[in-house]
Amino acid sequence: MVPTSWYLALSVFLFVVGLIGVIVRRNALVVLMAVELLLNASNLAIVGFARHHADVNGHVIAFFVIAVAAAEAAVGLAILIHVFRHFRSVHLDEISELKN
Amino acid sequence: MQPRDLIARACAALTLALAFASFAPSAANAQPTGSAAPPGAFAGAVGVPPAAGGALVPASDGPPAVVALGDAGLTGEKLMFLLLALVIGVLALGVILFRNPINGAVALIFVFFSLAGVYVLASAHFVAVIQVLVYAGAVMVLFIFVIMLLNLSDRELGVAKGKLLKALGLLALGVLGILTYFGLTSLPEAPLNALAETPPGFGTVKSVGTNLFTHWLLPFEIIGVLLLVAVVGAVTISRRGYQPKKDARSGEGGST
Repeated sequence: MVPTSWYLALSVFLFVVGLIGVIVRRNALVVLMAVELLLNASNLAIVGFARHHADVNGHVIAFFVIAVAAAEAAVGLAILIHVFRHFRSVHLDEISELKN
Repeated sequence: MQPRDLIARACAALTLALAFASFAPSAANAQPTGSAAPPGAFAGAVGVPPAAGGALVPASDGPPAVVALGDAGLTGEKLMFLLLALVIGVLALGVILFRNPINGAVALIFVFFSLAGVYVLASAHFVAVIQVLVYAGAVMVLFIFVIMLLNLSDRELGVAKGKLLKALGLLALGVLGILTYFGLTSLPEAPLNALAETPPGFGTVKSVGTNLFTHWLLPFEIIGVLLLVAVVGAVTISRRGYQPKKDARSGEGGST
């Protein structure tokens, strides 16, 4: 069997990669994809622990996380499209004003 | 055919092969308890016989015990996990490092497929299928649609500016390496209560569905409402001519 710590190590790696992507990248689309990486890292940790304790509730929670992440990606991209129509750019440095 | 297409197809074939090959050890574990194959019996899909697994000495001296292989040595399951983890690691770095978001989106699709392979290794069959269907099949398609819709030119994509930013990026990657090292070494490698084999029927559609519709029924219904709200919201916001209501006191022009 694969030790549970390996699942957690991979989850930590993915989470840090996603975090670096959210903080460093200036393209809003890449930031949204890095947020998906964050969610998948936590999903991997949940599934790893579900296997550790042989508890299926972990899989149900992972299913909910996937559903919520899909909804959040849809709404986030809709907002991005609206912002793009206004600022004509997806570069986060140029999307600088909150008020219209 | 451009070399980029060749590389993309080779990566796709390798990832799909790895993801589907990882079904084998879980299929061996999912047999009824009477004839359950021992964990690590991995007949034929990867040519690592279990007897040779014991011959690989666990690293007690020499190389550091970062990836200490444990008591059973390098079984087929661990090898499969290491291969998938390597693919995931490289492609996740590609997601954030590619300049063109389309390249990042394609790398993210392969990350999701490989993650589904890891979920199958963890006997999470239902979650693996949902991951492929929803994440790789719907969310990433949505991402690619939006990227194509925005139709960014090279000027708008933005050039990575300045040595300072690159230096900070390298520092961040160094932090990443340090965190991964501590993640690998700080946790016990063979936790006390982890099962060598999961019970039969663990993680199948039936067991997850039973829990979902009895114990988790209310969150399930609420997630349905959430998805409805998300769909309505996404369509409303991205409509042309949509303007949120402006405050009457601000003196701005009326909404379109």
